[in-house]
Amino acid sequence: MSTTIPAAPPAKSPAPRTQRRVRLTDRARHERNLGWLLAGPAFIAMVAVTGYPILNAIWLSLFDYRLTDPGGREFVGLGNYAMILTDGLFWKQFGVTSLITVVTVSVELVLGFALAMVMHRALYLRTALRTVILVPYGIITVVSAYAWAYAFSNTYGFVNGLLGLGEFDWFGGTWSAIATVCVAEIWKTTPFMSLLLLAGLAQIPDDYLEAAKVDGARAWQRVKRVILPNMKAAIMVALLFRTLDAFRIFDTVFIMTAGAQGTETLSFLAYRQTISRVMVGLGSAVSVILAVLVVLIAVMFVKVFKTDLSQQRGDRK
Amino acid sequence: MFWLAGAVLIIAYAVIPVIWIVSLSFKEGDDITNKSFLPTVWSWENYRTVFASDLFTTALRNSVGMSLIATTISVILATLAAYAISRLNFPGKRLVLGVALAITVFPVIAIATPLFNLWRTIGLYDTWLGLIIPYLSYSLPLSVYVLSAFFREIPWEMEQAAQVDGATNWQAFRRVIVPLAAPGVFTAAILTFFAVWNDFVFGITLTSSEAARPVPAALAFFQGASQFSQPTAPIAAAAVVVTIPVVVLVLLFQRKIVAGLTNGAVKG
Amino acid sequence: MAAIEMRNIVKEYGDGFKAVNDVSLHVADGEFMILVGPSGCGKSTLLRMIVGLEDITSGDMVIGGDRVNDKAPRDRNLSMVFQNYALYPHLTVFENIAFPLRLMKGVGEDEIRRRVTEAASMLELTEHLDRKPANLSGGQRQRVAMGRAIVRNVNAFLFDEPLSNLDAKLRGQMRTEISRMQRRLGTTTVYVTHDQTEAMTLGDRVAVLRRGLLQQVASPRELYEQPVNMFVAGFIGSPPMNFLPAVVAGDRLRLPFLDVGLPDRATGKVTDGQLLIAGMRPDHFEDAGLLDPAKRDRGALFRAKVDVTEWLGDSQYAYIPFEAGEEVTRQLADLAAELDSEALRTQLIVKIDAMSRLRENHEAEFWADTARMHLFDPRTGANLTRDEAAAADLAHLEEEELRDRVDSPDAAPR
Repeated sequence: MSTTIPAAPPAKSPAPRTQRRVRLTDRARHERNLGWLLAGPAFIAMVAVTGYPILNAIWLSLFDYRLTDPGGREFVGLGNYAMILTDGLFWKQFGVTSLITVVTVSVELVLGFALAMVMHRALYLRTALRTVILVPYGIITVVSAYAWAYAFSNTYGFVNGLLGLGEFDWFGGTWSAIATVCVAEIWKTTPFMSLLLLAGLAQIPDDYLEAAKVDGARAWQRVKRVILPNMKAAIMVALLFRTLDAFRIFDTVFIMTAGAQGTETLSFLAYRQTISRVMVGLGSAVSVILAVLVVLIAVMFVKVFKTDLSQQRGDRK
Repeated sequence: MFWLAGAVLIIAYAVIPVIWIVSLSFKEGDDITNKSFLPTVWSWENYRTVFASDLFTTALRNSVGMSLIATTISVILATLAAYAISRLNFPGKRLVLGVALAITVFPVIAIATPLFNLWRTIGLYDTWLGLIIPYLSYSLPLSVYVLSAFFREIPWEMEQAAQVDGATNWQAFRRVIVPLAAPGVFTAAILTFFAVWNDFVFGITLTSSEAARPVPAALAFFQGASQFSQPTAPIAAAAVVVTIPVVVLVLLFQRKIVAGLTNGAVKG
Repeated sequence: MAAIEMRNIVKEYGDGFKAVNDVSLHVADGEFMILVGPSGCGKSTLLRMIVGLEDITSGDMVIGGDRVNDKAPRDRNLSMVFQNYALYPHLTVFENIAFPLRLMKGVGEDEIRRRVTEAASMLELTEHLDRKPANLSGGQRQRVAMGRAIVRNVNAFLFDEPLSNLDAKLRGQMRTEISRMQRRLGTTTVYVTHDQTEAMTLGDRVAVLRRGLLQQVASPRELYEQPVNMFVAGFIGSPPMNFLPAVVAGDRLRLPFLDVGLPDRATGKVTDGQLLIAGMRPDHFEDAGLLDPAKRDRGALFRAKVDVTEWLGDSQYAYIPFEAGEEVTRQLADLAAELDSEALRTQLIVKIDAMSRLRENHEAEFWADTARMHLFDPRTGANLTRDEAAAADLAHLEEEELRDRVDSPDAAPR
């Protein structure tokens, strides 16, 4: 147990602080060793399983490679990417994914904020609310998707009866099918959003609101001028998390529409190319593009909206 | 009154879809297609069907077994790592955090497909281990974040006091930090369990048979005699069964889950 | 028990900032040493270097004759009371106090019980031994932290602002308790505080730090009477020393309200027309009407208009605003910022007899004990009128007192 973890990578010295340190004291050295001893196993578990597949995916994306025809493997450089990016279908799926992302995240933000307000203010049923809100969060996505698929179904569901739509087939048209996917997705993930927002709300001291009241602010003015500006960090973090998640939507689509009626999303495309059609090269390229898009979204949030990730989780003290 | 109405609405929002799937699972015969919210006759028939089906019971066993194993290992590794990250100064700390962040950002599907190839080559395809490993690496970042937040909440002085009192680093960790972090570890375990229990992507890409297929994936492969007689009500029953652990955990540990999800603020 | 010897201790951070800069300090065996200074002066860092929670960049830390620079805290045999007490919330009071003993090898259960009970009874915690820290009051928690410190035979006790989380009344009581305990156990003690009252009342000697540099180490009395510079003079004493502009005019010195002879000790160090800063403590003044006639000739009389008075029962403060001129005002603002206070206006604070019937916004006649006035160089802050002989006398007195106490057999046996 006294050996160091050999996998310690050549870390780029994180801060100028360490560069200046002339010599390490025993204590600092001991701390180092203990640090890697403790963090090492988790690090290896994370890198071993994800590092190789990511590099492998990038490598394979440069080949025209079909699993059923290994001999026909051929290096095509960026050919797969060119093929994907010039394909109208890809852009259509990109559009569908973006549409679902924008719609669900915006609705979730508004709805989640309302939920958070109610949970924050409600005097009665406080515990009941916080418990019940966790059910959609904790439920398996596939189960949620089935529940909604059956609810909207014109064979089994109650939704048409409730809305007086008769035999309307929700899954028969692109727009209505996307709508059902959005509903299921919003139902399942709004609670997560609302809990993050609730944490932001709880951080605003009541004094601020009382001061605003004394200063003559009405309810809406208090929300707009006191609550929202002070929740900016929490809102941005919630938006970031949810946007990244929504953009990768897969389970719900798989169960509810199986990509039919033009509801295929990018994750679904990657899955279908690789697993169903065993076009490994092409599928890998789609995966890489998806990953790059997700990273772009994250970078955009951090750079453009100045989302401070450290704000959310515990760094406040 | 306004807030009370809001509260009632929220409760309705959260439970109606759940009640719907429960109600569907108790429907039988013509009730299944009666398109009304509740069954006319409550029947256990669908539950008998799913529990009689090997497809479901093995999947359930797979899900429970793999989730528990992955959760346990993940939380142990994450506890050690989170302690190191939040408390110790060692080179490469940022690298560990960076990798964790990269994993949370990287699309699961983009990992699943290369893993599919790799696992087929080295024989992990369609095995428990083949799923537990990706479960681990995908749940580790979450547990590390949650636990780091908990560790940060524990005042620094606790360990310093222990050190002055004569404890080694390890003793300080064992005798002071671990007992204090226990609630956090527990919360991380619940959240990790949810995440692993929820998995679908790895479940469908890395399995081909009942050997390791977890419930969410198995649900999607439930097929009736033909495409047109999808076993709706049995699927509903199976869905209800896998939702029960979630509901139980939520009911028991609501406070911890909320705290863990938001900022890990617990006081000893 | 042991003496603590610090030789040229430096703490330098990666960015080149020196939190502690070349501090040399000797804490005698059994001595109660205070480290005091405004926030950021390096006092806590220095304490943490003694205990081993902070690495020492250079210099030697010698405890009981052993150089401990590279020793882990657990090997230094010290105990420490933290500002937030750092009680282990999952352990009972008994187990909190017993914690250090449990980490020691070869201490039997009976021995642990005996020692914890003894410490608890000394601190009047006996009835709380089974409770958890969360169920204790602030004062009780503070005592548990002390219990954990005294349960072992350690080389020294270290305190890091242990009273700052208590309310004023409790703080006074606990101050006395700490002092009593230290006198009784006779253990070498280093105590960090930013509160000058604690510094004055508790310490055998007080080390005043400013931006990592040691300013003066002396008995409270010497710091008060013979400060080496304006910083120490301004930090020690409450209300603080009054600083007034003073212009040298031949062998006279012109102050607001006053015109006095240039003190002997300043002659030769100043030039004609030079601007100095005069320091006079509030208690060096009196209402001229209530003055003991015997004192009158030692000082000077002046008339001034009182702005505000504060009557405290046993004494009374009067505030007299004055114009200080730009340079002195700026100097005083800088000093105030360094002392964690704010320079709102230049005013003279005088402490007068509670019987005095001064009226606000009226002129009154005051007497100032100008013989005890100090003169400071406004550029360096150095005290031009420090009486080295008097200081040496005070230091000698303090040393005798300490030796007396450490040698006396009445210290309770442990």
